[in-house]
Amino acid sequence: MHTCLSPCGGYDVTPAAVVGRAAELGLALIAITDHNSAENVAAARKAARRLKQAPPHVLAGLEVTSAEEVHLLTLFEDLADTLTFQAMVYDHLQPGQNDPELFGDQIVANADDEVEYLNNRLLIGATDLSVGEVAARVHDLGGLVIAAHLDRPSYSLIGQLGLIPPELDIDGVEVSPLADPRNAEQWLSGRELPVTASSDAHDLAQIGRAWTELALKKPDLAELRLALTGKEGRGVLGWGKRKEAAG
Amino acid sequence: MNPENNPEKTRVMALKIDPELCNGCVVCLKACPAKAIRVRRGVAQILPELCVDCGICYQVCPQGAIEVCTAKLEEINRFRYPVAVPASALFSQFGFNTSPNQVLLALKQIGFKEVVDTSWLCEMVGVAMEEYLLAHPELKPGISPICPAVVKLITKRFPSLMTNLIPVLPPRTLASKGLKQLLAKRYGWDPAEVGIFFIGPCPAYLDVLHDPICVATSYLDEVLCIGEVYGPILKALRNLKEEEKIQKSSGVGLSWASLGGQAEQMKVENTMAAAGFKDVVTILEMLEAGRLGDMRFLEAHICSGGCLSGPLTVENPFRAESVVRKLVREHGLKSEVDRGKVRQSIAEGVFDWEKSLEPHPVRPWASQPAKAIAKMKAIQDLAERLPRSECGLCGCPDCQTFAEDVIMGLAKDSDCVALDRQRHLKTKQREGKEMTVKELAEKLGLAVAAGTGGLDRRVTGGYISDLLSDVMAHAPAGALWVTLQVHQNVAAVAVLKEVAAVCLVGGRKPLPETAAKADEENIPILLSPDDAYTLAGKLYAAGLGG
Amino acid sequence: MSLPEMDDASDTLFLESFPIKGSDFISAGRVSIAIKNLLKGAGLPADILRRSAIVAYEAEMNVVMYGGDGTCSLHLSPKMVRVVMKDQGPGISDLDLAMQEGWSTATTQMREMGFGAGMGLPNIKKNSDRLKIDTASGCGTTLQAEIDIP
Repeated sequence: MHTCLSPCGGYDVTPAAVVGRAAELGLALIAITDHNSAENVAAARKAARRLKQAPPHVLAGLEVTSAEEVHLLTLFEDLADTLTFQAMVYDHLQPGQNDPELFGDQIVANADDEVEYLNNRLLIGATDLSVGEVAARVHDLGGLVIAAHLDRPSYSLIGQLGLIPPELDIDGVEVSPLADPRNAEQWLSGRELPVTASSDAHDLAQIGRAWTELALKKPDLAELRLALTGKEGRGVLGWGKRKEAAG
Repeated sequence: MNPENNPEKTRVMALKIDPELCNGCVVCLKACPAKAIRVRRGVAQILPELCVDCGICYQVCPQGAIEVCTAKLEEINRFRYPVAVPASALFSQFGFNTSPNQVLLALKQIGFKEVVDTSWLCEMVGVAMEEYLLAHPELKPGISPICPAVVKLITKRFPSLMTNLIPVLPPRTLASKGLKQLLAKRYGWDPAEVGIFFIGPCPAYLDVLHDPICVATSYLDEVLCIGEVYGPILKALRNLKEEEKIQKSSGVGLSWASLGGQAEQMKVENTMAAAGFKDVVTILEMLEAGRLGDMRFLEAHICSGGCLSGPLTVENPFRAESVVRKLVREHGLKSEVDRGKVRQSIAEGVFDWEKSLEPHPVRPWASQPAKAIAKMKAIQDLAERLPRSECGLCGCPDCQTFAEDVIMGLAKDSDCVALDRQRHLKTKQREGKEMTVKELAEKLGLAVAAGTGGLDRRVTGGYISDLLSDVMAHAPAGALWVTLQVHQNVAAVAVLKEVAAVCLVGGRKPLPETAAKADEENIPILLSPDDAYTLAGKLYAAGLGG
Repeated sequence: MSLPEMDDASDTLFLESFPIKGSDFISAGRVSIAIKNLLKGAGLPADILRRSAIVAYEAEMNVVMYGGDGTCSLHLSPKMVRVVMKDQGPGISDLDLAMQEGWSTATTQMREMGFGAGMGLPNIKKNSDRLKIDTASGCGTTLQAEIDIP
C-alpha cells in the first residue's frame, strides 16, 4: 500500500494512519511500497512499534517503475538494504521536479503525522532500469520482486509487454482488487508463479479491500519467501476481498 | 544588390571599423541606407563597393568604433609649403561672429602657408555650369558634379545618367589644378615642396583623392576633415589680427555650403536640390524612368542637409544653416565673377574635365541572364522561408539582403537564428497550416471524448508515444499526443507537457477519471478508430508534418 | 472587341507579384521602379530595361488613375520579359479610341501632376513586342505586354 509520499496519495494516508488502519483490520503483514521511494517506511515501523494491540509487521519496499513503465513491488526486511536500493532507484529515475498541482505533494512524514519535508523528485516518472535489471538488483540485496497488478492494462507486465518475459526472475505476481486471483492463469504466460492479491491502497478507505492469506510461522520476509515458493509447509492459502470502507 | 567586389580597383575607405571596439551590434547595420554593412564573426564590415561615404554609420555607432581615416593636422609638416583648400562648409562652423575671412586667416595661423577661398571658385564654377546648361538646352536636367559621393553613386547604380552630369570641374579641382605652378611663380616655391590639403565635411573626399572623378590624378595631396582643424582654428581665432583680405566671394559662393545654394545660383528655369541617400536615389530612379519632368538642373548631395551637414563637421547642421543664412544676407547676392572671363576660360578649356567618367555598374547576379534569373528565383524562394523579422542577427541588414547574400555564397542559411529556432512554428504559421484542435478533429473526423474547453488550442505538430516517461521527457508543447494509454496519468502528463490535445488510437476510450481530468484542464481527448501508424499518416497529410 | 486568350506562364523562371491600390498616388510608381531594379539585377541590356520600365510604369499608372485595385506580375525568362497588369476597374469601353495617342480621360488634377497626357496605352504598345488587352466596360482589365530579350 501507499502513503502520502506517493504521487496521487492523499494527505490522510500518513505512515501512522496506514499502520493503525491495518491493525484495526487485523492485517498481520503489510508492505509500504510508495512509488520509487521508501522514505515513509521508517516512520511506519516506528508507528507500528507504538501500537499496543496487534501491530502489523511492516515490510520495507518501493513500487518501482521500470523503463518499460512496468510497476514492480520490491520488498525487503532490512531497512538499510531498502535504502541502498532506493538510492539506486533515485540514481536511475528520470530527471525532473514533481508538479504538486498535478501529482500532489509527496510528503515524507514522521510517526506523529508531522511533515518532515516534501520529496521533490519525479516519483511519478520511470527509471531507466529494465524489469530484468530491477529484479537482479533486488535479488542481489536479498529482497523479493513481485509484478504489480498484473491484470491492469496499464503499468503492468502484461499491459506494457504483453507477456511475462520467460527469463524474468520474479518471485510472484499480484492481481489488483478488480480481478479474481483464482483466474490469474490467463496472465501468467504459462509460467508457474505464486499469485498474491493486495489493495494497492492509495487512501485509508482502500486499505484491506484485498488481501492474501498465507501460511507462515511468523510474519516476515523470510517466511513470505518460503510461502511463495511453497517450501517447508509455508504457502499461499487463498485470497480475500472486501468492499471499501465507507468514508 | 550584388555586393561582390569590383576587382579592378579597391577603393580607399575614409571610415574604418575598429574590430576591438566593435561589439557586433546591429545599429550601423540597420542605419546604413546603402545596405553596405555586414556583421561577420561579431564584427561589422563595410562593403566598399556598396558604401556611398555618407558617414551615417560613423554618426550612429554607440561604441565609437568607427574611425575616420582622413589626414591628421601634423601631416602639413610633411611639406614646406602646405596650402589649404577649404570647402565652403568650413565657414558655417564658427558661429555668427566669425567671418569667412577670419576663418581663412586662422588657417594661415595654424600652419598653412597659403589659403584659397574656395567659395570664390564655387561662384565661378556656378557660372560655368550655368553656361553649360544654356549651351545644352536638351539636357534635362544637368546634374551638378560637386558632390563626389553622388557622382560615384551615379557611376555605380545609374550609369545611364552619367551623360546628365555637367562636365565642369568642381571648385576643389579648379582650385588645386595648376596651383603649385602658380604658387611657384608667385612666391618662388619649389612645387615639389608644396602640399595641397583639401579640408572637407565628409568621408567622400578621401576616395576621390585616390580615384578622382574628372582628372587622371588628383591635384590634391591630402584630405583633412573639418573636425580635425576645428580646435586649432578656434584657438587661432582668439588672437587673430585681421590684416589681410583673402575672402572674395559674395553670398552666392558662401551659400554653396547649404543645400540648394547651387540651385539658387542657376539662372535657368526649374532647378532642384535633393539630399540624403534615399531621397537622391528616388530622384535618380525617377529621372532614369523619364519621370523627373521638365527639370533643368539637379543639385544632389549624399549628406541630408547639404555639405554643412556632413558627418565630419562639428557644428550642429541647423545652427550651421543659420550661420550661412546670415553670411549670405551680409555679403549679398551680387557676384563679382566676370561672366565674360568665365566664358573665355570655358572656351580655353579651363573648366573641362580631363578624363571621361567610367561607369562601374553594380553587377547583375550572374554574367548571363539565364543564370541571373535562376539566382533571382533562388533568392525569392529563400526569402519566402525567412521569418521577415528584419532583426539583423544574421549580420545582414534585412531578410531580403540575407537571402541575396546566401544565394551569392556570402552567408550561410544557418546564420539565420530565427529560421533555425522557429522552423516548425513560423513556417507552419506562414503557410497557413497551423490549425486548431477543432479544425484538426473536423478534418480527420475524430470524435471529441473530453476537454471540449480546449478545442481552440493551436496544434503545431504531433508526438506518438505510449511510455509516459518518454512523453514527459520529449513531447513538444502544442503537439497532438497520440497514444493508446487511457489511464488518468495521461491527462496529468498532457497538462504537464502543455500538449494541444491527446488522441487515443485503436478505438480506445479514456477512463472516466481520465476524461474528468481532461475536462477540468481543458485538454481535448480525441478518439481515432485507426492505429497510430495510419493516424500519423493522416495527420501528415493534413499538414501536421514535423 | 473579341477577348484574346492569355498564355500561361509555363516557361517563366522568375515570377514576382505586386499589389497596386487604385487612387494611391503616394505609392504610385514604386512597382515599376521595383520591376526595373529586378531586371537590372538580371543583367538585361539597357534598352530592354528602358522599355520594360516604361511599359510597367504606364500600366501601373493606368491602374492607379482608373483601375480600382490591381495586381502587377512580372514573369521573367532568359528569352522574355512579360508584364501582366490585372485590375478590377471600370474597364476600357472603347479600346481602339484609347490606343490613339493624345486621347485621355485624365482629370484636371491628374494632368497637373503630370499624368494623363493620354500616352499610356499607345506608349505601352510602342515599347512592347506583343500586347494583349482583355477588357470590357464594367469588367476590369487584364493587360499582358511582352518584350523579347535578344
